[in-house]
Amino acid sequence: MNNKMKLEILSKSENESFARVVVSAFAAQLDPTLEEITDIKTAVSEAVTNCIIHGYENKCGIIHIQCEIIDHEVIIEIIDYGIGIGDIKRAREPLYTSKPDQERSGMGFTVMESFMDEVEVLSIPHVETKVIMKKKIINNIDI
Amino acid sequence: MEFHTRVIEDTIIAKIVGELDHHTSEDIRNQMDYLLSMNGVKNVIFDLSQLTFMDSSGVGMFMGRYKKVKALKGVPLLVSIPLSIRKLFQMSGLFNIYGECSNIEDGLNKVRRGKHE
Repeated sequence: MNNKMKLEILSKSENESFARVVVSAFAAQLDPTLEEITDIKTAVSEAVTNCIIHGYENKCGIIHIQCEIIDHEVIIEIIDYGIGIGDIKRAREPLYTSKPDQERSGMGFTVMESFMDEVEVLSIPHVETKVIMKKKIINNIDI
Repeated sequence: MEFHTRVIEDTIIAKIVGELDHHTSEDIRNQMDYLLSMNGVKNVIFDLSQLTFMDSSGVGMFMGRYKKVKALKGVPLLVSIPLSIRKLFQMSGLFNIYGECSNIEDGLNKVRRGKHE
């Protein structure tokens, strides 16, 4: 199966649940298990929260979400145009947070990495930051 | 998200109904910290039987409340963690800092026993 969708939202925390529900509804075409849906929902929630808290530092901005289904794989791109990530390697370290005063767990990227098959992070500070996540939905593959 | 709290003896019983993310964890944080600032209250039992979703913002909220409860020399406990959310609890190490109990009554007994230890 091949399919595509594109979503544009404002970086408001109210939209975190909206974004994860839309993406999981799109991925539902692949007939995922409940666990796979939860994994996708959680990973999307992490990426969108990062855009809001870190990318735009709670100021208003635009978040683009693009999803593609290619065969049995869902590919999710979450893009913001905020401050960006200077040191991606450090940002991806478990428990690292650039905002220790805000009670952040520093687990965002770790959650994305463990709940999805692949996570790629690309950032040009103050221009564009993109998180690309891929997950194979194995539930409906005929063996 | 709905958040219900009641206080029994020196223990807050806090039930989270719905989804816990960056947006909703702020409310819980504020209400919990208000209750924990009251005289004599020091233990927390989180009832998660109706928690339907959680991400790492929820982890941050639980870690923060753990620190407050520990500072008061209280006991932090969890009841009824949904299967779908256990993976995140395990990954983030929340099971190392929170005790788990089978129901509220069991939790209250644990807290009472804790006093005599």
